[in-house]
Amino acid sequence: MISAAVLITSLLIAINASIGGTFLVLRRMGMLTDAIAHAILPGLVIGYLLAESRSSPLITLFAAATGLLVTLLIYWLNKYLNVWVEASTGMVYTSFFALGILGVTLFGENADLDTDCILYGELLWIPFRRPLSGTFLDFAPWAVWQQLMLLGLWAILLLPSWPIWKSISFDIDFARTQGLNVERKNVQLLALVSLSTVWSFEAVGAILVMGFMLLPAATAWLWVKRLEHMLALSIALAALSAIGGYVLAWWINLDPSTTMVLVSGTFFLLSLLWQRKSTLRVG
Amino acid sequence: MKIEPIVDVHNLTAGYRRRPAIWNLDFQIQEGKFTGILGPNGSGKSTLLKCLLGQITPYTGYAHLWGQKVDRVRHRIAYVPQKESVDWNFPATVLDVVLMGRYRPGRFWQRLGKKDKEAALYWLEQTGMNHLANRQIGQLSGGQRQRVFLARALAREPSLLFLDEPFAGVDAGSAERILHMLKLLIEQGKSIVMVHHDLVSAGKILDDAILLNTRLVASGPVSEVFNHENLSATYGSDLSILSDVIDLVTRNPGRFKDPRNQKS
Repeated sequence: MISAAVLITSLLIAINASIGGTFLVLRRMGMLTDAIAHAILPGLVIGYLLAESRSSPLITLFAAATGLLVTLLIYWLNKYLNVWVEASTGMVYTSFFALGILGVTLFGENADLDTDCILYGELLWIPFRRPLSGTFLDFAPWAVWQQLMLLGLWAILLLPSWPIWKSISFDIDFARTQGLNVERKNVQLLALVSLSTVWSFEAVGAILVMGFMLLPAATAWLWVKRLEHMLALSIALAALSAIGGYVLAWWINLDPSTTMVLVSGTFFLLSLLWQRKSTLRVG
Repeated sequence: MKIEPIVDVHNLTAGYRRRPAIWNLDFQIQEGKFTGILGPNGSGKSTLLKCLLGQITPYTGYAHLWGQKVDRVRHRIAYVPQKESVDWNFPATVLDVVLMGRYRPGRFWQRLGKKDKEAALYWLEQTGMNHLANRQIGQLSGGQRQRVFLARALAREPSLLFLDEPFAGVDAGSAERILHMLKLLIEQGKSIVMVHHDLVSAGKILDDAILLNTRLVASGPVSEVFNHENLSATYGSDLSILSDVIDLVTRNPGRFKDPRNQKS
């Protein structure tokens, strides 16, 4: 059975993830998604314990804040203590993840959280998550509203100051000498990436969310020579992978988020073979 | 009438992670001059440049531009970084990069207009890069990359231009073009501060020099500060090239004027 709600949700998740992914790939910060996706676990646990319900906005808030905290921690360790980005990423997110697992184990029984659903997500349950039931917004599942909000936030963040995002992504030191508030823009970007990860991983899990973020952007980079085109192609590829993956999942009866990432990965591989002379050094 | 210095550095100590790379610098740079920051590797040239650009905060002292903090005069300066400092695989065309010089902070809606594009195209033409405007930047040679960076800086129409070793790894044709542009700027009354490596060319092209070896060795007109004592204090005394440089400067004073004869 094809569910319109699942299809639309995954389409929006894929599109939002690919926007953040475009900037992460360009700035060699791809692994950050993985770090955020794992490190938000303690935030989820704390949020859950405080809210005592799975759909409370408090959980999102705590998780997203933890994601942002982790990114900033990685950044500070690198900047002020001169720890390699790779090393500080590995240190910070594994510690946070371990802390989260500890929380789940200690409080998991009465918290209805389990590690499986955190790692693999549950896209097919999306239509049944309706905390807004009874209100006029009930015609679409909560996840759709989340993703629409996120899309709106991306638009507000990127559209008015698009040239600045270009300048910062290309040459952050030059942007700084221009007097642009680089640090603020960085935090804004990372906050949205963090929020995007939190809201996506409920559906697709902590591991596959990285594929949603990075694969379309990395594929697009192989084909374009302007950032505008990269972003547009990245969004298009994300949408195509979501639809293609959903149809494939329905056809051979698999979990849709898995097939979506597989389709996305196939696009990347084909592009790489086609382009031969690769410009990509994802790091 | 006393001339206000364009750059005023006083008791400046700065570095990274509490380890100073430059100590107690005191010097001034005059308006309208082509000034070089010279010194061996590890002498703190880049640290000094970062202080002047406000990229790092000094431990003691200050580096003022036009008597103010750099944050208040950013619209009047521009910067040409080393071309190795960015990833040239970035998806942008030559024109995109030059347009990046046009952004100014402050407004909410910060899209660029027709005027900005015209200015960018003008500076591309001036640097001899207009035929490459739509090329992806990764396909440029080293010299062309440096010219794109120069065009991006000049698109800001600065009164004071900072450059970080603009001639490193640049072919002769591009180097000549860049030098020509810099000389034009000086003729138009702009000021240039450049971190530079090559002593021989420094003697030919610069007005003033700041000799640096973690501490200030000397600063002033090239014809005055380029002597054996200063250069060996900067670079160490065993450089045979030093005497050649001094010869060159004393034999070809070129456009250097004795500051004592200058009217002000």
